Amino acid sequence: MAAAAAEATTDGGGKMIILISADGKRFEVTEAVASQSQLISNMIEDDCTENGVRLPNVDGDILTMVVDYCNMHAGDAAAAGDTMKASSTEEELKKFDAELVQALENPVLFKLILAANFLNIKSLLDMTCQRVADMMSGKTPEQMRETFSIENDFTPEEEAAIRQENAWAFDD
Amino acid sequence: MKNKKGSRRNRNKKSAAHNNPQLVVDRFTKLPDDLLLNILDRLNTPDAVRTCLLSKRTIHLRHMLSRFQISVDSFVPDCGYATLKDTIPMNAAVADATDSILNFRRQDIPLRHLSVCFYLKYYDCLTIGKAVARAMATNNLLDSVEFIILPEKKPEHYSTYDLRHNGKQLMRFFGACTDAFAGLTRLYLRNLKLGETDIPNIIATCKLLEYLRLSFCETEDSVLQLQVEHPRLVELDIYHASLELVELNYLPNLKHLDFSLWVCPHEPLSFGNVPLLSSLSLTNVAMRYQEVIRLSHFLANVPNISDLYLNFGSEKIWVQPECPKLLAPVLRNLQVLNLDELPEECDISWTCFFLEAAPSLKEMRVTVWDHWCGMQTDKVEREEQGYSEKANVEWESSAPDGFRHYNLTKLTIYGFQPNDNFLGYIRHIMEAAVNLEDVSLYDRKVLECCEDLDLKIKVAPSWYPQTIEEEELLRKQITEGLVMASPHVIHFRS
Repeated sequence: MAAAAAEATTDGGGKMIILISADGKRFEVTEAVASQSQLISNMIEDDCTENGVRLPNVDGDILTMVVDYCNMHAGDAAAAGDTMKASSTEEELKKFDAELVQALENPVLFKLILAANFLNIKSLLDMTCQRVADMMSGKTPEQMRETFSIENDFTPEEEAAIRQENAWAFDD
Repeated sequence: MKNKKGSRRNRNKKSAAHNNPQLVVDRFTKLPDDLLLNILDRLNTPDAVRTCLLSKRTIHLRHMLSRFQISVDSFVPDCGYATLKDTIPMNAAVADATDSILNFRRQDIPLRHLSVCFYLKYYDCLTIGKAVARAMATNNLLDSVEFIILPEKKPEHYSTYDLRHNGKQLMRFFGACTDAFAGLTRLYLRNLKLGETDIPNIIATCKLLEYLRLSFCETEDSVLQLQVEHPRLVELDIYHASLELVELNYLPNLKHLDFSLWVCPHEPLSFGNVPLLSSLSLTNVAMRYQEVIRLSHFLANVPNISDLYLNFGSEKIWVQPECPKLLAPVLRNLQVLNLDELPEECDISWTCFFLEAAPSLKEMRVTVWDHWCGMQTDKVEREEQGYSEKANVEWESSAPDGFRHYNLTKLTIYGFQPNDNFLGYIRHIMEAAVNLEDVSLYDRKVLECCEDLDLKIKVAPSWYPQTIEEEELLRKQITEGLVMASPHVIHFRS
């Protein structure tokens, strides 16, 4: 069935491929959509997507988000020729990205970073890493620990040494 | 910008987040190094280093950052503002951090971007200058290296003595760290009074410079001219130089020039060899004694301007409308025109001379605005300093009957009021510009700075349309009888 789907074409004429998440969920997408992932793009080039692409370290719920993102962004290149269309698409995309990124919280945010990194989708990786950076920016170390549940694993002696070495980074 | 420091590091591991089982897993420090660095390199360096210092897992990453970006802004006290006294520890923190981070970073990892923003205090400058020079010598590949050098006091508190003192401090720093200056690609200097040869000296020494901004950098009064020559400079921004003339003799890579506030009665710039100059921005509050500029003469040597910004500071119009025959040779490549802060209640039809002389013009933006909080309002002061009274610019179209413009697609007006001045103007442009796609009309601009307006100043109420019916009526009024123009291209966007 997967092989049959791989041969199918959409209205746009793009070939379809099947992505399979770690928990066995299947997603049918066009090659154009999937090749935003450099990893899958390379697999398409090497002709090894016939039986579907297994993604053993991406869960179904995360892959849903990745596929949504890629579907939304697949139009980027196609719309570029038509200036009016491109500008409206650009606005929509910005809105979509902003909403997606705002909704992202621990732990989904980090799972999405790992998925974007594994699948090698640069724009999604940039966006998600920027979100973490924005969440850290301007916070006290205490607030950073709370935001991301980072434990203090230093001994008091180690901590004193760090403070002395990096005195500029601390108030006292 | 406000930034908190780590004085109150929480040693109680049972913080709020830890009471919530959903959040208890620390996924941040579990990320691989390359992803952590991807995130850390998006932060300014103090935040990035403080993040690294949170756990054993991340502490080594502070030596592996590929961007170094630090500013005194990161050390503003918790109250949100800095007094003169605060600038001492703030600047010391920048100097210490620069010295320690650059010294201990791993040299096998390329340093792509280095930017330091600091106050002009000699011994801190020396620490920063030496550390940056060492980093330049020992680290590979620096895409951009920037110094932003700030005065210690707020600019409005400066006397000539202070400015001269700043100038001397800068030149002492410059003399002690020429190797650091020689590697800079971006430099921003502010509030200095310099000796005759200082600016040429700095420009000559900073061989790699691509961006230079001089703001209130005066030279001694005996100096009337500045000659600029630099093989790499791409962007030059001079704000209030108090010179008679700046001669741009040889700037083969200059693409953007921003020049603001001149005091001389005649043209403040002369263009020599600047073949790539395409974006020009000029701002002036012109006095009675200042001649209006004839662009056909002023820009004769720079025929490739595609982007032109002229700001009149709500005062006298200091350009002369000219006929297309004279002007077309210098405006033939103009695509984007921005006319900012035109005085209110004055006829704006003169600005059409640009349209007639610039066949490639695609976008035109006009802002009509008496920006009161920046204006001199005292009558006696105005008279003494030589401000002009409001007056219309005389202009008569020299285009043939039935003139058509084929490239203008967008007209934007800020400060639109539904009176004959604007309606006639828009109608005229819509009639001529047959391919116009968008006319965007905005109400007067109101900035934060305008909120504390002196109550003695009376601002006329705005008649900007408030209802859909009013908008519809105006659309009709503007386009009535125009065969080619569509009312749908007109948008009221405020």
